[in-house]
Amino acid sequence: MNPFGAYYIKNTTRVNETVDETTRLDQLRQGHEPAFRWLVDTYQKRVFRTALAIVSSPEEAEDVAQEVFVEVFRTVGNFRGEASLATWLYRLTTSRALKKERDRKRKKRFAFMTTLFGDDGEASHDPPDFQTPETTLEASEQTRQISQAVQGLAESQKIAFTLHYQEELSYQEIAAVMETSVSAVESLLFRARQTLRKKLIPLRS
Amino acid sequence: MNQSTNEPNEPDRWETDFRQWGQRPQPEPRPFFYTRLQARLNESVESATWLPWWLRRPAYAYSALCMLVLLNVSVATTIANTPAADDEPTTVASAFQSDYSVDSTITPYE
Repeated sequence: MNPFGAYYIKNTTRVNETVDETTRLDQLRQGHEPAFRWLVDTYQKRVFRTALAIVSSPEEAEDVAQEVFVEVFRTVGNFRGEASLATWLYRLTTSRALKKERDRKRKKRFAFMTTLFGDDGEASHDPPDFQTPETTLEASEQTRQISQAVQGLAESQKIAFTLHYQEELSYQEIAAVMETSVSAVESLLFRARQTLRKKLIPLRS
Repeated sequence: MNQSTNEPNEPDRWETDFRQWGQRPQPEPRPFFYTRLQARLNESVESATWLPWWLRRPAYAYSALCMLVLLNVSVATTIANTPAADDEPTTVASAFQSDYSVDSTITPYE
């Protein structure tokens, strides 16, 4: 057996993926509709799930996902390809989802203030534990507790934790998405795990 | 004492739990996501084109707004600098003059 065979196949595959992505990018810049359709079909679930980890409802997560793809459509001409398509999409998703969540919290504070002055505002409530009919039966109590605890993490820790454990990105990939260093990502994950353990240990005992 | 030193498998257990959390079943986007996206893209193009060209460019829109504000300020300033009409007496002397029909040119010299 040729000892270099496996190396050749692995690196040829990597080269082919890079070439494919370059071709896709060129097609996207040219406004090639099938290329845009491919992009949406390939990444919509990842974008949606990542957004859902940050915002409070699937409706908002879908809104974020749509906004991400609209932005890609409008600005792909300016994208120089210094990062991969996936990295760019994750970056757009996390920043838009954070913005939406901050806007929601600001509106909630404003609604609270207006109720103090007697306006009948919308009833404000804490975002509920997200459960759907499809997930209720399957999600264990432990998973639900972790989900609740993750919602309480600081923004950057939440993003790093979600990208690592849910999206299974490497430290390098997460650093590229968050535009920070690998050591900063390690620190964020370490603090996230510590915080989650502190919150979850009393529940488990 | 750190609990993890008593239970060497504790970090592994947490890691397993976190990875299980990451693999939990999750909802997916509603069907026809791409159709709704296309509608949104078409809507954003249409809403931009009904505006006149000079409003579609933010620099022109802001300049138009500034000119409007300056125009209003200049009109307000002009009105403020215009002397008031003499229909009503504005001082005590002029009120006296109007009450007793005294000629204003004579009064200062009496």
